[in-house]
Amino acid sequence: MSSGSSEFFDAPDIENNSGPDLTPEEEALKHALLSKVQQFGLGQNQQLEAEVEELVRRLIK
Amino acid sequence: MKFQKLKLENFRQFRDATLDFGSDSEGFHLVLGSNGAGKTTLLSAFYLALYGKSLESISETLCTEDVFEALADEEATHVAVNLEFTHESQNYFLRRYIKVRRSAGKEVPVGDDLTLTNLSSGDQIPVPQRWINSKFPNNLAKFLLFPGEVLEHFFEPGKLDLLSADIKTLAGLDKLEMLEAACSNVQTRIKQRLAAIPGDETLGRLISRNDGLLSLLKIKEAEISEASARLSDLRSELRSKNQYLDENRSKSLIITKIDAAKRARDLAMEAFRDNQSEQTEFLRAFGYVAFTANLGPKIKPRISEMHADGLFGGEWPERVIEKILNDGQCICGCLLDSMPSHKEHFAALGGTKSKLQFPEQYRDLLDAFEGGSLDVAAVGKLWEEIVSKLLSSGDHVEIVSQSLAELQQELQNSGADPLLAEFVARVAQLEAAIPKQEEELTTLRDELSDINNDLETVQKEMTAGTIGQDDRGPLVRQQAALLRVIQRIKSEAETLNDEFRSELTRELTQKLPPVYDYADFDVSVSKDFAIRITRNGKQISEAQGQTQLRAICTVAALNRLAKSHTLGSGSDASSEDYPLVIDAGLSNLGESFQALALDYLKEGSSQVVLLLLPAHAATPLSHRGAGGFKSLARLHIYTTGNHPSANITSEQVTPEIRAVFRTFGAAANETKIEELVI
Repeated sequence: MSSGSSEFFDAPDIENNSGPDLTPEEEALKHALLSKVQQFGLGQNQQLEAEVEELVRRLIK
Repeated sequence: MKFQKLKLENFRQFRDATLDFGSDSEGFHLVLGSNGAGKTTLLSAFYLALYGKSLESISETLCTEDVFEALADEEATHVAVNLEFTHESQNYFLRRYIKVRRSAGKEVPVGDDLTLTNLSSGDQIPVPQRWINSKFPNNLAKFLLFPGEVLEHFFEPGKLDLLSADIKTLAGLDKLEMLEAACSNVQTRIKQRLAAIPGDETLGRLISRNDGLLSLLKIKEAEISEASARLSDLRSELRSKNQYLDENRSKSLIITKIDAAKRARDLAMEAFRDNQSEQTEFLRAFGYVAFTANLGPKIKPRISEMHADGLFGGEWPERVIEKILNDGQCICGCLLDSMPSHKEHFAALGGTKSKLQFPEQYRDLLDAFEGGSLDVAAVGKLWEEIVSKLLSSGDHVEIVSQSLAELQQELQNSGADPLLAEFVARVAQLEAAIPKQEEELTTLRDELSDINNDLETVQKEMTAGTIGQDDRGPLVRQQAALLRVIQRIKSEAETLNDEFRSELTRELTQKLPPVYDYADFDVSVSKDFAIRITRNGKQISEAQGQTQLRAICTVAALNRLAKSHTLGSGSDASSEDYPLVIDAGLSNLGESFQALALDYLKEGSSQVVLLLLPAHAATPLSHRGAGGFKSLARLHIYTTGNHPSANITSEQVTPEIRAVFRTFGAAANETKIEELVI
């Protein structure tokens, strides 16, 4: 429904549960992982795991 | 993006053929051809041009048969697909050239070249495949260039998982799931390595506590996921019900008013019996429901009489008096907002303000109130006095009763769907249920947060002090980091899922009303992208042509989403919609649904290319009745003929085309018929 005083009509926003706050290193790891996964086709799980292992070793000392 | 011209060289049935959509390529393009005449080849040609590969269902042989047979062994020739298209006001020419050789009687591709030229600027696109993938993502192609069988993915029992997988791909969720699995496996390996290093008791205790908390975390996440899904379902239902009520506002408003008038009548009668008790409370409540029930105009004559009798004296602001006299209703609405506790009063009456419709013509008064320039205290006092006078005379009972009868008559005259009243009641239930569900979710999330805090403490202890001094330190930190990153990615995926489902639901909801009587039907999309259509809360059977039609709605919805969103692997969002090319996708539809399906496809894209058997051509089109397709920019009909196995000529399809012409009447002047020469 629309019109009228808006406070009554707007459904509350979906609560933003964005997960834990990450440290800069973890944030970098997250971005690196997301960027890496885009390069892999589905089914290339083992290669992706190897990349994940390498990334985490490099970024988290 | 719009396809303008497809030119084929030595590609399957087509040695040299051009499918020209014309300079103004928007509209509905119908390609007629018998089995084997090359309809599916045309669909495959679009795939080949854009992605360098054929559809899975098509054999891998590319070259025209007689051209290939004329080759000597080890002799080569080429297959080429040329596609002219427009995208964001630029014209492009794409050429996919594949060199093939005859080797021991088999076709062997020996080279592949792709060039893409921006004809508007004259520039060559440096990495054409990347450009295509960013503008026209491969994962969208499945929904835009599709053979009829893909429809089965949507509704065939046992194939629903395929749809779920398709949509997950489209939303980019499958890759996130794949990443999550990879991270979990790596985490397990790190844990195993860690366990292999001899450690002290403290570390062992911490690791065990860490594992316990992780298990708790999983349980809590599952609970949150369930609670969130319930909330999402409630919101989705509320949204669709409200949308329907919105679309039928004039009728649903009468129901809301009747509901309010009944309450007003009960209150009025009660107060008339004992008009001294809690009169102020009553006045407020009555003001609320009177506004909702639009009783102002009924009360107005009485106010007018009181004014004429000089009952208000000279102390009321002239503007307020004028407003009351001009717009009897508005005063009630303003009064409501003037009362700090009005929400509670109204809630006590079992309603919420979301049912109120504040008419635009009273907007200035509301603005004045909100802006502080209206003398609220004076208005409130005036209202109390008016109602008090009405109360003491008993007029109000008569007014609301009369009003109720009129409203009920009005509802009857409006021919409103009986479900409207049910929807109004259901909306009230939903509005009450949603805050409770939100509260439950908040509690669960708080609990999750506590677990996370404990986990963080444990992990800090694990990484502190002596533990960090040897080989175990980095491993523990890596394990903890992976865990946290996975959680973060999971929650982002969840948000992506929610957003995508919400958009998909909205698109589908908008597309359903003309097909189904929307008063009866609700559409919802579950967490795993199963699309359900329910009728009065019960899932409808997957029979008849409705299921295919729903599939077409889905395709159109996905196209609309694709236009406005960046989906999947970082593709650029486009302000343009995509062409839809469908191979015989309508032939199995029930007749009464065919024409509607065409309408949906049209709505889903401004360029639709439909590849049909000639026998199916006249039927779907003739169902629209004369002028039914006037919204189409143009109807183009092409025929593919002269194929040895089909031997279709334009003469043979003429009766069907004539039927189409009769149906289209004036629109037929814009219809163009071409024969594709093979």
